[in-house]
Amino acid sequence: MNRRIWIILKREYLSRLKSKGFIIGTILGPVLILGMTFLPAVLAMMTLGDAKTVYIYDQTGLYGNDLLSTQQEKADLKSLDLRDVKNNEMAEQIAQEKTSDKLNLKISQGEQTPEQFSAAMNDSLANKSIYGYLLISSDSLGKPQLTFYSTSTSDYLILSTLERRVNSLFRLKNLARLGVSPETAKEINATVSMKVFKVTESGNQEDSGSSLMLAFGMGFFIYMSMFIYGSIVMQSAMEEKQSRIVEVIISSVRPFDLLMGKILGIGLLGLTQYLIWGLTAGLIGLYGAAMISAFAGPGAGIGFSVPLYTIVAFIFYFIGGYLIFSTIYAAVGASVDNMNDAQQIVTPIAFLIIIPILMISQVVRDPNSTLAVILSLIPFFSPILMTARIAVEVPPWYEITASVILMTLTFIGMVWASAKIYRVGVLMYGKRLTFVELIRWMKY
Amino acid sequence: MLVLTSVTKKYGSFTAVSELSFSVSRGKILGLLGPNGAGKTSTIRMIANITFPDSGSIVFDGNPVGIKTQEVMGYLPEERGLYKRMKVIEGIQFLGELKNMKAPDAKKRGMELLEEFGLTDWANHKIEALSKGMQQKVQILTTILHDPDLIILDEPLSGLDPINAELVNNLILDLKKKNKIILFSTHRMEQVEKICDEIVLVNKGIGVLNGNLRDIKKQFGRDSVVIEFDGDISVFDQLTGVEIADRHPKHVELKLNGNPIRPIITFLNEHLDIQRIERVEPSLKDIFIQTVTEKGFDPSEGDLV
Repeated sequence: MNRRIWIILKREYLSRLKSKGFIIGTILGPVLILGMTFLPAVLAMMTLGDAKTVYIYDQTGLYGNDLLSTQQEKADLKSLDLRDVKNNEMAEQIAQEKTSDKLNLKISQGEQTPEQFSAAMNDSLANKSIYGYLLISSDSLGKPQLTFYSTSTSDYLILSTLERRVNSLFRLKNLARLGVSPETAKEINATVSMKVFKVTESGNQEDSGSSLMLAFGMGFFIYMSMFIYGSIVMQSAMEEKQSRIVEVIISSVRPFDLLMGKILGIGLLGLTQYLIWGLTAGLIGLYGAAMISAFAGPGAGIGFSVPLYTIVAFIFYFIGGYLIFSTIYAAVGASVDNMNDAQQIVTPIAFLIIIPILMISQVVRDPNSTLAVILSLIPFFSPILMTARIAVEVPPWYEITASVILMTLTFIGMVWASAKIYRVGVLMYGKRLTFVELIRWMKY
Repeated sequence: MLVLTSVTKKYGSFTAVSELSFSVSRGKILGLLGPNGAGKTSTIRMIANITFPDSGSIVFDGNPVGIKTQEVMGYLPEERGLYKRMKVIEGIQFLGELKNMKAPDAKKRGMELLEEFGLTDWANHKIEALSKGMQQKVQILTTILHDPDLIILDEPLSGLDPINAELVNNLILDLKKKNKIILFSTHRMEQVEKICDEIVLVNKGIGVLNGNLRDIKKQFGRDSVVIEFDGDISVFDQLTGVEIADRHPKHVELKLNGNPIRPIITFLNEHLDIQRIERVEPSLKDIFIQTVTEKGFDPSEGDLV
């Protein structure tokens, strides 16, 4: 690297590293991300705070009481030792049962016609003393019919719990009616779950959707990074232009040096930030794992390993994507003198980042389809889509090679074009920009 | 020695500089003059290797301008700018490093110059904390930090108060003594008259006049009279055959156009209380207007001051 690029890089990196913005961003970033991830869950939990009363009117007389008794049984689950929970499935079950603890089921007492019951219940609904009521009737074939009334019908947890319990009871009753012993009935009623294995060259690997998660996760990570750091590069170029320092700088270095120094400096800053986050997360993870094994014994925890080639590919495409897009963003920043003009030019570029994110689920579902192959070879889409493909199923080597070559060529082309635009753009003020104009600048 | 030969620069169909040629040798101050939009900044940017001429050549000390000549050149652009959020001394050091100085040297020299400019106390303040005038001084200081051989100053006095303007003028004369080449660009002709050795007048991208300032002045003769007076200025309108070149309430410059001066003074003396009367060389402004008019331009198109 030439000395000039290095000096620019050093200034760009150090002055940003020491800035309040970076320090605050580094601390608040994870807080925000964690917040956005967990807040909905936390909010959902909070709304479950009060037990919800649901009255049951059982015309058939077969289920109501049993529903109440299962409620009793489930309450016992609370005393169950959570340290025995070894996997997510059971935790989920328990979470659901816990939800049902918040469900206060009551059987309507006394002789009532369904109409009288409904009328009384509607009054209670109106003054919000109950959450809803359930009518159990049966059709001519003896099949139970469930009808639930409530002012708010959006709590799918309660609805599904009710439905599941009645379904389960219905099956048990039917089995009993057919002369099956309660023990056998319980066995029949038991559910099984499916484990998914991914077959790779290095052997079979259990995969409970982890590679899919990985593909989406990495894709989004690259997506976010390209956007965030791309716009930092753009702002930086624009600031230099607005403060007019740029003319002094390009009287000392080539615009190419300034462009490269800036992109590399900010890129390095991004990597520093990710490193800080990664190390912090790693430490918390280690601590967490230690806590889990302390409580649940060794071997517990999440068995989630990412193959090395995926990591290597991710790093390459991550850096490649950043370089390509930040170069474009830098050229835009250097060409405009206010944020409004920047938005106009940036919108079509943003599409190049958004399109692959829109296509990612399509590509991941069928990673070797013609569409997926073509899309992932387009250099602007490769960072997100090729990474996603590699995460779910390693594509043929020649496709990876092709995308690497295409991306490299694109990067070189972008740097060439951007350096040209940069040279003209930084000295151009008060001109409304169009793409045509930008292309004309390359000829100056 | 800086030599421009038939330099032309076009932006699309617009010709900013057309076939411009001039040269300036060491120890000389060259004034690049012309109204706004005449092509001064376009010319300077090509000398600074920021943009490139479409045709013609620019040679400094035998080398075509490029990365190498940039290192021995200091450039003060018309639009000033520094990294506002950097500390003064850090900003200075950075710009010095870009000119191939070693970081400690750049810092040391920066501190020396700050002291010379009376800004030592501000070295560790952020640049944005400085007043505009101080920022201006810092910028001028960075221009000469690396002891360049060619110093390009685009409107160096704009925005400076008289005291600081004097400081900069002295600095320029100092650089001249050190045998540097100074290129001084401005649209304010009177600034140039005081310090420049040579001038290049440009209008609409074309060099209209070029040479030693003394010689040019001589060539245009001593045909003007400056009169300072108390009284009614309308008296001057009664004069015939002479032109009023410059007109202020108590100060008038007359172009005699070959008329004898004695009867004019006699006439004026009857009506006005004359404070001072001096036969002078024509001002650069007059020379400029006369030249461009002779060459067929309309001088009123530019905003010459």
